[in-house]
Amino acid sequence: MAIYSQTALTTVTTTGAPAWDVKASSVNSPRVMEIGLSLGAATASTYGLGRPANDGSVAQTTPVLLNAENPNDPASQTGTAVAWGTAPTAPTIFLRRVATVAAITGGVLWTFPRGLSCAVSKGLVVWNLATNSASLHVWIVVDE
Amino acid sequence: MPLYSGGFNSTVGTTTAPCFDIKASATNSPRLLELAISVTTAAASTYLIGRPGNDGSVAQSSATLLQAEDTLAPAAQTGTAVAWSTAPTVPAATLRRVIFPNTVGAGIIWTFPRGILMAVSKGLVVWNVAANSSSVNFVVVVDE
Repeated sequence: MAIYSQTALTTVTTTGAPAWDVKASSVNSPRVMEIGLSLGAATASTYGLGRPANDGSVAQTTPVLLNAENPNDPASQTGTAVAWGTAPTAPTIFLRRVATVAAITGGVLWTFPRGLSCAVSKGLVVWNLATNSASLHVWIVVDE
Repeated sequence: MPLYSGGFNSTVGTTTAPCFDIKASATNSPRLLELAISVTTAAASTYLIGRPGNDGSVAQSSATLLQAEDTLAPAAQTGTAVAWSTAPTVPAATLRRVIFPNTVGAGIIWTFPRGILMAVSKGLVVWNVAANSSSVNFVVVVDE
């Protein structure tokens, strides 16, 4: 198993809409070890993290693969996106939920010591539960 | 033992009343590893965690089961609620207590490295010690 990570910037602030997602490829089943959110604009924001209701049907637009933390490891198979052909739909039940202060750098760091698994071709979405910050920095750490 | 988690919202800000609870099923005895609170609506708020005075008699309305962090794990048996037909009563002894400023995004993450055990059919309640925020987010992580 190898560790992969990545940062992303999303500007999707619409309430009731996905802000960012991560998705396994058709041949891997990664475990998310950490997700961090940090506001780039001073807006009180509420986010949820969960498995999309349409998990398995999400089509990412221009997915970006994670980066190996050890350069000797093979390329990642896990992709993230901030735009979609078929967007993630609202999770039925969230795994994490947070309200942030209305200040730049407001945010949260979620860790998953045993890994939050993504099944083959499935993933997780960070969901805007309010009209959120116009700029959100996201980072993720995954064990593939 | 697999981990289960969930993110929830409660709008019960009434003083001297439960705003959220978690309860074991009749056949399990989970351990609470983490409980996080963050407020979406600004109000100086005081919360405590404890075992309900009527522990074992609480009847949750529309209980929501936690979600498996590992997609291969069986379904959770531990339920949460923000409404009750028999509501939790005030804990006789408290395990944690916190006060927040009148600020959106104020919050806390409590961790319990060895887990707070919930006996069969019993649980824990988050109690409003004051007229609290009218919208508050909870995250729980449980080892079943």
